[in-house]
Amino acid sequence: MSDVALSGAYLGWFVLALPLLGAIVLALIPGEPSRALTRVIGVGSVAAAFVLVVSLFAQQLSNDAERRAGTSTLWTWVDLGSLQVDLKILVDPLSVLMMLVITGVGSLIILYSTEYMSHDRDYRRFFVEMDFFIFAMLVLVLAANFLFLIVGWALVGLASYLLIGYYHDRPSAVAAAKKAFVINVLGDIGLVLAAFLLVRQLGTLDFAEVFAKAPQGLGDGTFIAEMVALLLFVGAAAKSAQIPLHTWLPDAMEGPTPVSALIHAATMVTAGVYLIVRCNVLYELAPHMSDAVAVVGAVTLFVAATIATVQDDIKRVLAWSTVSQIGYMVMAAGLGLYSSGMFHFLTHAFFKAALFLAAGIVIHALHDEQSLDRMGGLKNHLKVAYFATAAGCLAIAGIPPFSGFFSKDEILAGAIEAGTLGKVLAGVGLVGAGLTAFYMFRLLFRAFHGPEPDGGYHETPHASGSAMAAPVVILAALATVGGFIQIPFVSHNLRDWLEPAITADPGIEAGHGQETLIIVLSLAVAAIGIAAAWWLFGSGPERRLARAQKLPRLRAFLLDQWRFDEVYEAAVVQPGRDLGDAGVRAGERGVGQGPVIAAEAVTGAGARILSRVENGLVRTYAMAVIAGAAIVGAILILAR
Amino acid sequence: MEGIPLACYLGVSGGLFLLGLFGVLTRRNPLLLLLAVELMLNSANVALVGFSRYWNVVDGQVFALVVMVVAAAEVVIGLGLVVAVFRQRLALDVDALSSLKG
Amino acid sequence: MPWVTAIILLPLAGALSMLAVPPGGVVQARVHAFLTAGGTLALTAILVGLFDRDAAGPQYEDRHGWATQVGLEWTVNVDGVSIWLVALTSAIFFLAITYACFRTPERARGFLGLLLLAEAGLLGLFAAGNLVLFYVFWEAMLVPFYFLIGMWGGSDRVRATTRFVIYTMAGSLLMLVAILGTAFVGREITGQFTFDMEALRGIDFTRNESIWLFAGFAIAFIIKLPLWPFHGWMPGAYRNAPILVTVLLAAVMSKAGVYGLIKIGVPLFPEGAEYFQYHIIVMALAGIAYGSVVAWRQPTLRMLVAYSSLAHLGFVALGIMAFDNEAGQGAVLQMVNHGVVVAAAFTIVGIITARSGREDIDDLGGLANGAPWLAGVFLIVAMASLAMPGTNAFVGEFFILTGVFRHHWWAAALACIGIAYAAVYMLRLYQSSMNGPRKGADGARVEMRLRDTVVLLPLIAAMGLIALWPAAIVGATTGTVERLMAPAQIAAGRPADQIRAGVAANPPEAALPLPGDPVEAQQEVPAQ
Repeated sequence: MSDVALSGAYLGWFVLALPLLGAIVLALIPGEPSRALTRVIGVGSVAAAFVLVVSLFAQQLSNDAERRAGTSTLWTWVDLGSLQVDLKILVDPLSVLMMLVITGVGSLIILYSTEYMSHDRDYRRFFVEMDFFIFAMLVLVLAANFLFLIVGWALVGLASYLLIGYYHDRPSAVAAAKKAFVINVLGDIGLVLAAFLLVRQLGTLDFAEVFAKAPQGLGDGTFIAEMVALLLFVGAAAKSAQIPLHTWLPDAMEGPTPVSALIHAATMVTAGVYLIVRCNVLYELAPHMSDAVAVVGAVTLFVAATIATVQDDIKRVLAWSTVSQIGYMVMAAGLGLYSSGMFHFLTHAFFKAALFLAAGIVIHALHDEQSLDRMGGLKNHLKVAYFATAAGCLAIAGIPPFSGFFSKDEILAGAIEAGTLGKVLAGVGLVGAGLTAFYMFRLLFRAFHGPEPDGGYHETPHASGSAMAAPVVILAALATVGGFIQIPFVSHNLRDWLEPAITADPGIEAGHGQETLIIVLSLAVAAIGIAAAWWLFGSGPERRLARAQKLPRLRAFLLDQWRFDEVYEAAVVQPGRDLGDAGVRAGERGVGQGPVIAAEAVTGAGARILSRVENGLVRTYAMAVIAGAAIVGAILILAR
Repeated sequence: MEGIPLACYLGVSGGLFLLGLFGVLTRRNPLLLLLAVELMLNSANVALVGFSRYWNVVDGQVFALVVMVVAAAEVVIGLGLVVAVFRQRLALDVDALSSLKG
Repeated sequence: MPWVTAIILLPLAGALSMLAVPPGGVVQARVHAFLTAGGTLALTAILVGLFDRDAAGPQYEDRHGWATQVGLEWTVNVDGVSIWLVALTSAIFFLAITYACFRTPERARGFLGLLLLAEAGLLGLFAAGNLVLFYVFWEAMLVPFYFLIGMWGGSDRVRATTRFVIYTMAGSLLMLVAILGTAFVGREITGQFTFDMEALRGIDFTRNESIWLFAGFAIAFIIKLPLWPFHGWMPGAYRNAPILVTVLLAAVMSKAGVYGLIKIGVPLFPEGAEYFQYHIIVMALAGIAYGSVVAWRQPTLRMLVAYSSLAHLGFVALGIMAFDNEAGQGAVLQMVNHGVVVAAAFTIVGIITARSGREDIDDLGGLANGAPWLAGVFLIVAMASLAMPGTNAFVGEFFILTGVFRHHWWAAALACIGIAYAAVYMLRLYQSSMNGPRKGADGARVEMRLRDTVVLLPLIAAMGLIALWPAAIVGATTGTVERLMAPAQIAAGRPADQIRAGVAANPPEAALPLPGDPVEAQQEVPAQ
């Protein structure tokens, strides 16, 4: 079945099949399966997929660089004569990197949820949907053509919809799920239109063929090439919550915390970055759009960081921080720093998952309390969560030797090399880094330091069991050391690893001077951010509350999240609703049905007049017949 | 062309037809009505046969036979209706039976 | 074995056999109906199996003289397009009759007999190879639907049926005129008086003739479809028909219009079709937009699905009027998809409204709690209805829009608005009935029962099969669609190399003359 190089590519089908089977089997077990069985199937199927991915990875490692990619075809999905689409997967270093994170972090988070969700009555449904999500995400990264990419793209949107709306009797969760789904559909439309354009220009959807034909078929810097890049980015922006399509992600926190960790932090939301990296050939042909992508990423990372500084809901802080961090990745990808973007994706998956899961421990311990106002001093009660959060904060703030330091600095240092725009954006990134350090340590200090709220907790927060603690510890450890894969001046393993997949890498590399400059600057801003956070939040709420009075309008603006939702509601949703209502009313009143209503009226009136003739007396009819015959006869005679 | 001239056929036919017509228009008893209709049909038959003789083709006579068959069928249905009405103990008066709804 | 004739006559015989059932014989009527519908489905399955997937022209033709002097013949056949509609009709009617057998309304004999009559009419329509036969079946299927709505319908059924009939008759009378016109004008050109579709294909009408004749046909098709703004009969009929009949109206009867367009309108009158191309594309787009916007705000479950159906049929019409092979194949696939999906959607709506006693969307909520299986099935159907990638409807819409985009990118881009709206209104339908706080009825009461499973499971299975292996259907349509589209493509001034994006294989012109065609078909296509 495998056609090229990598002989184990067919294993990808089994990787795909395992979570899907897990979901189907779990869903179809009649009655209520025991929790142990649910756990075994739910976690086991994903963990087994992880083992398979590791074996694939090992096989790739043992091969030369050019023999690390392979495809495998099941059957020809459809052949329209002019367009053929195969049911085909592509296993290459990029997809394996994604799969490692998806199944690896995925199985840890699902393991975590076995305990986190233990109080839920719909235990089985949660694992069905989680397994389904893993399957959908694997479809997305394994697809070897745009059509199945779109399928995976939409399926993860569906899984995300289901999991955001997991508590489906809570109206806010239902509304958040709907919002996420609709915005994701907008993104799907962007992708679909891009696919139409590719079919029209190149006559194929297969990745390899598209990338091979694109330089001739689309042209370098032509309008068409820019349009393709733009439309693809609409999809990427919707999935990766980039401005202006970002508003769904903070609301998505209505889902259970493990869902936020897996889907809305570690994996799905980074699909946009994956898409841009995967389509690096197309983006290199579209310089203007690439710049636009980078600018959107930079704007997003800044706006989201500012919003994160005022949020009081622990998950919302993390959500906005996710938006902001993805902004870094998107900016990197837009500037042509593809492998740096993927590096940040990797480290972000570790530290953000750790942060979310640690937050989950807190929320679990406080019986679904998410407000930072009701937290404080938790470091004495929840040691594991405290250390994991601290590790995550240090990583995301970019303090060496934690992982975020390496990946973020690589992006910023590379950006300086990428022209004037890159220099400006690197500046934005530095400001963002300072804000990041500030808001993350604000979270740490407010939740874990300072006095306990209202003079102590009613119930002592209970520490979590090992099923929740173990994944957090593992992820925190990875967040700590994960950056050593690629150390400035020393090694670039990840970059070499991804090289076969990023064929159009412009090869931007920071010089030693820039690298050092960035390290110094970013450490400085991080230190300022942490110091500011300590000054404001390190010692209880008094100083914070006093300061909050100072800039009420800016604070309100940030609390309203830059008022994107309000603008959309007024500009798009309400007019659409009004239009629909008008249509319904017009339909009821019969607008546009004039001719038919008139025809009905005329027919009815005519029938009423003529029905008088039908008096039921046979002789009248006979007279009419005779009179008619006489008239016809007279006409015939006279007309002769 | 020998024997009875066409005019005679048509004269008889016309006379019969007027007789039938008069009956249909004046009678209220369905039985008599049927009788009158029968007269009109047969006047047409006479005319058909007459023309058939005149033009020396048999089509007219064939049609006359068809008309007789149709007339027989019609009488069967008509009488059946009359009997049905009679069984309902309604008056045998077509003017009284002016509504389709039973 | 005259397969096609047998498929048409079997349900007709079944309908007539109802006369032999005594008035109270509900069980007997059920047995008759079930057996004939099942037999028809079995015959259809055999025919699909025997069908030559690579051939372009009509197959399994049964041709018998009827009144040959005036061009009337019993000519029935199937080609790569009609075979799927025949299959859809047999399958949906079989499921509908099965469902009706579980819960037969009063006057069972009449109800089941009329269903079978409607089935025969539709099967004949899709298999007709002769314009007069087509017209006869077109009118014949109207009669059973008229009585089904008029006798078993809801409160406003009289007005609904009147309007339904006025609309359809207005269209079909124009079509009758056009049919006669086609035959007479055709005789002027070829010297032969015929209504045979194959013989009429390729007659070189003048541009004017082509335009007028196409207009006559197209109005009938568009009313039947219905396309905006000719949809006036639809809301009333869909609202007042018994839900089972609504299923049939939306799933099967609505295909008559699009089928006529692709089978008669476009291939017989290419220049007329080309003349009206933009008119119909704009109407289709308007229908997509209007249907979507109005569906979103509909108060009742049933009307939401009805208007969504209006939008989806707009896509099919769009695919046909693009004169593109891919779009055409997508349109054929989408006819089947729409039939399957909308049947499932209306069935679910019927289940919910019947058992909860609520029609309004806002009166319902939280049903998923007691009815997890129904919620799951509903979710799948809703996703298929909004053409979510990975479902069967996506495949059809994707190919339609790929083809439309190639020639009229703006139309495809505008149609995408409909896709976005579909997400909004289908989610409203699903969420407000299934999710949220419990309202209206207890979920356990609406949960799927045996009879629902019997009907919905095959539909879901069909959706899955098409999603995973669309080639099963699309693969058999390639030749036929090329053949049907070729004259219009030439009329639109698109030589083969532009049509097939650089893939040179079997250019459409070569598909025009057919072995065994009557003399007229060898006439050259209109010169450019």
